[in-house]
Amino acid sequence: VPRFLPLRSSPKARFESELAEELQFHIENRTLHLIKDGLTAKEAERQARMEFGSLDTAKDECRSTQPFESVFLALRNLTWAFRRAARAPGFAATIVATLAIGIAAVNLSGMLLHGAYLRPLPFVAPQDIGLIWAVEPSGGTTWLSVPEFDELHGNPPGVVSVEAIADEHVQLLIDGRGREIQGIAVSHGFLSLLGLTPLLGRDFTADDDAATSPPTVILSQSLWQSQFGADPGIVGRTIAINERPHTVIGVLPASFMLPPATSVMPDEIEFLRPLAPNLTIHDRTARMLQVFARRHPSASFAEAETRLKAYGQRVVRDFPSAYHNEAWRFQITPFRTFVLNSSKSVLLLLFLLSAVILSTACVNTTSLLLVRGESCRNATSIRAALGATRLRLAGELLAEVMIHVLLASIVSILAIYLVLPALRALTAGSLPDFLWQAPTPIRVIIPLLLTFAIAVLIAIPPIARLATFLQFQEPGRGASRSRITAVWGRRLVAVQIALATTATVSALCLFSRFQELQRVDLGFSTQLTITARLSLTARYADDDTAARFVEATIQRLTATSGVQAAGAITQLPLSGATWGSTILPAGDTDHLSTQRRFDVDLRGITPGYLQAAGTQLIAGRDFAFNDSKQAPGVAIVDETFARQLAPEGNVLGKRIRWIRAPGRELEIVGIVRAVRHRGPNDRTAPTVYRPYAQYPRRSLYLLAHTSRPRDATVTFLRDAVASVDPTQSVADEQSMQQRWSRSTGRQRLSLTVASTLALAGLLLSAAGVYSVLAFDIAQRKREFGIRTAMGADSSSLLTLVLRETTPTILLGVACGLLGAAAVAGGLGQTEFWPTTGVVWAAAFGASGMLLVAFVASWLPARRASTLQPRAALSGD
Amino acid sequence: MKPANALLPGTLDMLILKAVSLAPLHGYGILLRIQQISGGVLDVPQGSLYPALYRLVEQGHISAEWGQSDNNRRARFYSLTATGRKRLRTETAEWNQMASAIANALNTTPEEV
Repeated sequence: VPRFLPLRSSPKARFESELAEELQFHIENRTLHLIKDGLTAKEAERQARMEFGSLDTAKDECRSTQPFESVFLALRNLTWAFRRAARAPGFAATIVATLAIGIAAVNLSGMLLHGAYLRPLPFVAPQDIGLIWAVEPSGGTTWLSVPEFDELHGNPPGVVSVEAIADEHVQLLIDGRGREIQGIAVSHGFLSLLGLTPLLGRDFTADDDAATSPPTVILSQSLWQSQFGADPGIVGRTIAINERPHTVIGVLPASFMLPPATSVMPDEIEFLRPLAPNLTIHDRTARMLQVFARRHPSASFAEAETRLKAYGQRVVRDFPSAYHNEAWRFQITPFRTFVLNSSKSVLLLLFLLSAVILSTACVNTTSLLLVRGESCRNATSIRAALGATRLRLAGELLAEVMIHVLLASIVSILAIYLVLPALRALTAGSLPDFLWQAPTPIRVIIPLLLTFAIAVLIAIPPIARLATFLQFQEPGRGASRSRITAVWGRRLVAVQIALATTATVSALCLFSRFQELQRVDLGFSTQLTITARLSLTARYADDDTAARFVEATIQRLTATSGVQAAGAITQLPLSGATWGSTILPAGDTDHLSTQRRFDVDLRGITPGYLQAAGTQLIAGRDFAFNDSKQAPGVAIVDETFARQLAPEGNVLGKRIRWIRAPGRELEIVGIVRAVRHRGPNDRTAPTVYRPYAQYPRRSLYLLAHTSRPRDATVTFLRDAVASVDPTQSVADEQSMQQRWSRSTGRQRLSLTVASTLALAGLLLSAAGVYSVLAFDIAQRKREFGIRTAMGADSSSLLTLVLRETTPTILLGVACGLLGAAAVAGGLGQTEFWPTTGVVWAAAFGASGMLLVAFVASWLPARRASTLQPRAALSGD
Repeated sequence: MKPANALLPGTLDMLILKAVSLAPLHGYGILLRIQQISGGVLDVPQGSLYPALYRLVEQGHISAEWGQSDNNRRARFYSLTATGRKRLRTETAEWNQMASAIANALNTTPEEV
């Protein structure tokens, strides 16, 4: 047995050589003594060695008296394991590769989970930060309005402070060139609520945050660096935002970010402006503020919730028209919980599947080790007879497993770092980039702990098997050897099949769900449509000027060759922007009647939008440019709203009123198909469209339906805008297809990863099932030989093997289906809505798994059935 | 059944200490000395002798030094240290006390009860 050989000059080496010399001296003296007693030299030496007993055991016991011996023992075991691995590189490589796949899968999903949930939010005491929501009577949560925020800010409900933010897109003018930038308007205590201070300059004060305050701005570090060359004298400089001079009062630290879960907020926050000077709407029904609260460390959110409940009851009583006299209420959610909820299912699925892969890899490794253990059985028994203790053998085995797992860990970590750039590129847009940047100590410690746990788990069954090798084999017990193996083997096969079934069925269900989502009628076309956001500059503060500019741009676009239709909309589908409002039937003066009020999604569109977006007009007409502000009020409604307004008949020609301008009646001139504005998972909300000229907004989206390649089209979208007004910029240029990909990105990503993991699991478990059964059958060669000699034909042998394996396979698949159901349960309803497609997918996955398992057991069974009795009986 | 001349558990250390207290000895010498001073009754298991020696050295009860054996071979000689001498005294006293107590107990006749 190879030993750990330290350097010749080391104290350990001296100890070893002196120990050997001393024992040798003893044996030689004893031999001489026995020769004197009359034995021959050969007999004397044999007698001396027998009297002494195992030299190895004596040496081990002597070593064990030395300090640090356990370290040396571990090193010796590891060296032994290395040499053994080097002697069978194929076996070692198989185990390392198998485990590396599993460890890489778990590490990767662990990294994502850590980035998403466990990493502390970059704020001071993030556990004390909460978000305040208004809860609609239907149960949906929404943001707060300015009056609500003012009331809560002035009288914080059981919390220390309440601050608000709103998203903003503005135009930054540098050297006469406009550039759209995105950021947030914040109430002046927002940064201190988060516990942050600016890198340069100062935070906003109450003086900056009043309706009449001179305009000020705080820049993000990246904007400061990219647009102002990290000018150290930036604080105090005046810059032009929306053509108004703003004084820069500070620069944010680089670490400033809001977690991506607040996805309605801009992806990147490039600036902060004070809230009050930039608020235009103070209506109680216009909910545009996301409200943050910080509790006192000793207080609870439950207390704040109670106070908020009382606040809700008060405002509903005091402002019946704003709350429709209905059960509106307010709630507070810990920030962490909110962040957790947003991407829970994708990440949880990844983690579960990768855990399944890792378990399969472990089970495979265990079965490989068991198989190898059987083949080294004689060597092990001889070593045990020569004095190798059980502890020693177990230590060696553990060291061997440890070496493989460590190598697999290293391989998997290297692989992760190699594929990380590719993964980041692949998931850009569907997973926030910051998820990939977990801090270093965790990235090292967790995999190491995991590695250790895996090694111990893998080693347990082979070590348990060792015990049976060390017992003396009585002649009659030969049969028990293959029986024990068969029992272990079958347990492992069942576990492997169960794990692989879970992975495969989950992936197929996800795939089926994704397919269903792809087929959902969105109500608009995602093909050949390109879009860009337009944030009108201050020169379009007047509604008529804005409408004229948009009309001119659209007419310019429509005239461009290659553009089949062009239009604009205030809130583009899939952009995340919505504007909830209330519609009343005309002539109904009872503002408080909940029966005759309709919560709708209100959008302004230009003529040509419906055609450009591919939203079908069912009845009536599209808007025309002469539906101007001065013209009679008109509206187009979607079929959902039409059904609500008049379940029994036609709504064309009916009149409705908008709650914010109840004096003006709007005639319904058209009905369009219902649109899922937020993507395929969304329900179709009742929607009312108004002509842009009658419902102008400063932020809108241009659309062009075209047959041109995307880049050229974007250029002429930009050109069309520039030809009307060279100082007006466009931003967020994307094709509708890109927006669609982005909105389904998470699902597509989880599908891709789930299928890859499931495929890996399927292959691993098929290999595992095959190897265990092949080994079991090889062990029973003699039995099959006897059966054949006694007259069994090949088909009856095949039946015998399959009859033995079928219960195991069925048990495995059944457990796997239960596992898949548990995965689905853990994921909640959105990803795994139990549709017929999902049920079919589960059935398909289960039968596929059955097929794979039967093929994996049929191959070795067939080999057994074709054995010649002579060959089977002669060889062992 | 244990062989008649097997050592009682826990007595090997004491016998080693006694053997080296008479003169420094190498391992095989200790084996012979124990046989000699026990009148050939006690048979030390050879495989257990060296682990016991190494343990006693580690505990500081005996010290080891390389020297020359009778047949001019290099050998490791063990001698008693001061702490070893103290331990030998204590263990001898305890053993004697225990042995006489057991002997007394075993010699008791029905009349003495």
